[in-house]
Amino acid sequence: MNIPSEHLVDMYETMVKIRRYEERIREIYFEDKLPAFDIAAGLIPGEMHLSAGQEPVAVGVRPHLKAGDAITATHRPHHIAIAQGVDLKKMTAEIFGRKTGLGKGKGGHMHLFSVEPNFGCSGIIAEGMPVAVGAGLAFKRRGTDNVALSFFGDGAANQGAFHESLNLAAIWDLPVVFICEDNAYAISVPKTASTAIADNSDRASAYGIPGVLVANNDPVAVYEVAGEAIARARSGRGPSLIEVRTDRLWGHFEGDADAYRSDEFKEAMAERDPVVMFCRKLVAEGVLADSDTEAIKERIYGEVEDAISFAISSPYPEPEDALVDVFA
Amino acid sequence: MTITTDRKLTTQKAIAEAIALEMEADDTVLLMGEDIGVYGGIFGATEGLLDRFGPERVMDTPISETGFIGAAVGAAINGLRPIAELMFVDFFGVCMDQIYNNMAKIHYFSGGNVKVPMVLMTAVGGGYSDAGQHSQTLWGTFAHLPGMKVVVPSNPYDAKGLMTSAIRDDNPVLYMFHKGVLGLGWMTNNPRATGAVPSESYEVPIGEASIAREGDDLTMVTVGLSVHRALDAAEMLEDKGISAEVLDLRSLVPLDRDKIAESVGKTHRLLVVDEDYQSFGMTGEVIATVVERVFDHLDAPPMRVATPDTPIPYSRPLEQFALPSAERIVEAAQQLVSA
Amino acid sequence: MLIGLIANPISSKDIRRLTGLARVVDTEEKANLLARLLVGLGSYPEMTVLALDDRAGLVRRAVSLARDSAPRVDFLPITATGEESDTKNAAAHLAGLVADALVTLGGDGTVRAAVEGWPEAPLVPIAAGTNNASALTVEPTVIGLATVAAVKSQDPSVFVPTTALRVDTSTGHATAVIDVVSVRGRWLGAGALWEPALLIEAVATSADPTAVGIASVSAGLGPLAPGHARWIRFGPGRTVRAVFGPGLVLDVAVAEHTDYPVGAEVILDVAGAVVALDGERRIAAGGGKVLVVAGPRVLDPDRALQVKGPSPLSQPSSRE
Repeated sequence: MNIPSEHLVDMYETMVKIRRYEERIREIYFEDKLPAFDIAAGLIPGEMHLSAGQEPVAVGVRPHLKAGDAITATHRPHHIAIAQGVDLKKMTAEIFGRKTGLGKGKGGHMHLFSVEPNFGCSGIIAEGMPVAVGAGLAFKRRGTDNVALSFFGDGAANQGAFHESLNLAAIWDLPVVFICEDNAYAISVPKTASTAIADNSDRASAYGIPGVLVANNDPVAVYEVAGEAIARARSGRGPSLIEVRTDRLWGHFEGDADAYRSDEFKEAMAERDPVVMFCRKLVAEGVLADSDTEAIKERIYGEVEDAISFAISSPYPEPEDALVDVFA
Repeated sequence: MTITTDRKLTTQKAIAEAIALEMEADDTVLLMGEDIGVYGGIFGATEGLLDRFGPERVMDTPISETGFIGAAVGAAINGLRPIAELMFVDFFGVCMDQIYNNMAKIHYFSGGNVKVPMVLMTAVGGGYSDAGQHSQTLWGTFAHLPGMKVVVPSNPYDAKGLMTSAIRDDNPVLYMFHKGVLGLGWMTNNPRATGAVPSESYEVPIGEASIAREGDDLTMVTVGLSVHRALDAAEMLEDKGISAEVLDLRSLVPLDRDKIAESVGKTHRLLVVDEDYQSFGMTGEVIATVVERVFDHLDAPPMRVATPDTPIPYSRPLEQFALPSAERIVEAAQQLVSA
Repeated sequence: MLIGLIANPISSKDIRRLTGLARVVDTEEKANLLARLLVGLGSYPEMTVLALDDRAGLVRRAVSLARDSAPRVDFLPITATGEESDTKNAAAHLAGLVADALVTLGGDGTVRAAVEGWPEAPLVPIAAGTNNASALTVEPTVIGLATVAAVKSQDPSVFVPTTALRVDTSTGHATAVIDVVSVRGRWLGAGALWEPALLIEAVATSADPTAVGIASVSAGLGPLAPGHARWIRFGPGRTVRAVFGPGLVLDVAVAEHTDYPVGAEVILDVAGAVVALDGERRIAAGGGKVLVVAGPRVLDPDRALQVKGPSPLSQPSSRE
C-alpha cells in the first residue's frame, strides 16, 4: 500500500496527542487523591482506564474514516475518541465532571457520547458491540456508505454479546468492522487463562466472516488491514474481524498495583513503546526531521493543555441538574 | 372519554394496526424480533406486517436478544425508529443490560445530546398455565429503573393509541401488552378484549391514567388484565351496594400521581390491584404516593391484592389462587369499605 | 530416530484473508494437522520428536489429540516469544543435535526462518500458510510415515536438493527459499504482498506452474533449470497471467528476466523500496545483493514411500 506521508504524520501526531493526554490525565487524577488513595477525591473522581500503548489501533483506523461513520468503544476509550476527532475540550470537561462536558457531567469517562463525530462508549464489557451492529443496520437501510466500527478487548470476546453481534452482522450482511484490542489481559486475567483458543481472529470463521490477526502493535500494519476491512464494508461486501496484538502499558485502572504482570513483561512492553518506535521510523525514513518532532510536541502538548484548562475553568453543573435529561 | 365508532377490533389487531399506520407514515420505522415476521408474532401483535412492508422493514431475528435489542439501540441512535419485540418479558434476563444500562441511560449520559427513539414491545402476564418462566408481568422491575417509559394498555383503543404514542416518542418506551387482553382465539374468551377502535391514526398520551369506571366508595388502581378483573369485581360490588371507581393507570412511567391522588381524594379508600409480585413493586408505589399526597383524605389504611412473592405456579388451582381474581378483589373491597 | 518439529501459530491469518480468498487455517486445524503428523510418525516405535513449545500450545494440543498414537514428544529448552526468531532458534538448536529431519508447519515464511537456523536441514515442510509455494500439501499422516521411511532408508535422494537465496541487509544476511522481491514503498506494514503494481524486481528459485505467488509469475516465463534462480524485472513488456495468491488470478507485466546458477550474485533495484522475503515485507534498509545458493533438502514423500524394503504401510504396528 502507498501511504501518503500526510497520513503518516497525522497518525504520529495523534499518537503523541493520545500519549500526552493519558499522561496528563494520570497526573491530574492522582493529585488530591494521595497520600491515602481516595477514589472519590480530586479533580477527576471515580475510575480511570488509560490507553497508553494502544495508540496504534486507534490511529491506524483514523485515515479511513469519513463523516458519519459510527464508533462504539469501551471503558478504555480515550485513544479512540481522540483519533476519531471527538472535541477534546468537551471530552475533557466531561471527564472533569463539568457542565460544559459532552454529557454535561452526567456520563463521565466511561460514557462519552459525541454526535459529530459519531462516537459512544460503555462501561459494560461488549455492550457497544450490538450497538455498532445497529448503526450498520441503520446505514444500510438508509442507503449511506457509512461504516460502523466496534472496538472491544480480548476479555470481551468471551462475552455473549460478542458472539451475538458477529452472528447478526454476518447474517444481516452489515457494514461493520469488529476490532479486538488484544492486550493479553482482562484486568488481571491473562487471555491464556480465559480463552479456549489462541486467537480471537479465528472466531470469525465460526460466523462466516474474514478474521485477520495483526501480530504486532504497529500503526502501519493496522492502517493496511483496517483500510482493507473498512473499504470492504463500505463497498457492501460485509463485516469482518480484526485482532490487533497491542500493549496496555499501565495497569487496568489507575491505582492498579499491576502486580499480576511480571517486571520482565512490563520491561519488554516499554522497550517496544509504539510512540517511540514510530517516531524513530518516521525520522529514519525522512518523513519527519528531528527538529519537527520538537515542534510537534510543543503544538500538541499545547492543545492538550488547552483542553485541560478549558475543563478546569468550566463550572460544575447545578446539583439539581441531576434530575434533568432522563427523558427527551 | 367517548369513542365514536362502531368499528370493533381485538387488542391484538389494534396493536398491529397502530404499527402498520406508523410504518406507512414514516419509513424510518423498522420492526424486529423473534417470529414477528412470517409468524406475525407469537401473540399476533405484528400480524400482516411482513406482507405489507417486506423483510427489510420487518425482520425475523435469530435468538439473540442482547444482539438485536442492542442493535435496535444503535439503529435508533443513527436515524431509524426501531420497534424491537422481546417475545416474553420473562426473557429479559438474557438481555437486561442492553435495556436498563444502555437503552435507558444513553440520553442521560450524553446530557440529552443523543436520543434513543425506540419501542421495546413485550408480552406479559399469566392465567393460562404457562408456568413460572412464561407468565410474569414484571413492570415493577422495569418501572423501578430510570430512563425508560413504561406503558401497559388494557383495551383495544388504548393499545392502538399508546403504541402510536410510543413510536412517535423520542424516548425509549417499554410497551407491555398482557396476553389476556389481546382477544386471542386460542385463549380463554374475554369479552373485554374487543372494543371500539377508530380506523385512523390517533395518540393516547403517555403518562395519563384513565377512569375506566366511575365510583364513590373506593378507588381501585390497576393496570393490564387486572383492569378487566377490577371491572368484573366492580359489577359484583354494585350488586352489594358498593360503588367502586376503577382507575386504569395505562402508564407506569410516567406515573399519573395526580389522577391517583384526585381519585382517592374523592373516594377516601384505596385498593391497589397488581398481577406483578407484591413486594417492592407497583402496589407499594401507589400506596406511597397516596400516603404522601392525600393521607388526610384516607378513611382506612390502603389495601392491595397482588400476586404473592412466589414463582407463578403451573397447576390451574394454584395459579388461579396466586393471580388477582375478581373474587379476591371483591373480598378485599368489602373489607376496605367496612374498615 | 530424532525428528525436530516447529509449528508456527500465526501463519495464514493475515491481510490476504481480506484482499483475496486466503485459506482459513485456524489454530484448531493446525493442531489437527500436527496430530495427524504425529500419528504417522508414531508408527515407528523408537521415535522421539523434539519440538518447539510454541506460544499457542499447538504441539501440546496435537499430542493430546493424537493420544496413544503419538510418539514420545519432548520440548526444546526455548521459551517461545511468538516472534519469527523462535523458529530460527529452534532450527539452530536441532541442527546442533543433528536431528534426522526437521518438520515445519506453516507457510513459506516459516520454512524460510527454519532454513536460516539450519541451512542444511533435511526438511519436511507441512503446508499451513497462505501461498505454500515451498511446502508439502500431502496429508500429514502420510508425511509422517514418509519421513520415517526416508530416515530409515538412509537414502539421500529422498531429500531433494533445492535452491535458495541469501540477501544482505544492514544487519547481516537473510535467507529466502522461494523469492526475494523489491516492493515500492518504505513500510513493512502488514507484511503480506497483494498488489503487483508495487513490485520492482524479484529473484525466484521456483518456476513450478502449480505454485502460487511470485513462483507462478516465474512459471509463466518458462521452465527453470534445477540449481538456478530467475531474476525478474517488472514493468511493461510481456504479460504473464499468474495465480498471485489464493483466489487471485492477475495479469502481471514483466519487462525482462534472466536465469542464474548457484554461486551467482544478482543485484536487485531497491531504490525507494523494501525487500520482501518469501512473500512478506521484511527488510527496510540494506543493499540489494542476492546470492544464489544451495537450499534446503526437501522431502519427496513419493520417493520416500517407494524405497527398497517393506513399506511402512505394510508393517504391523509394533504396538500390537
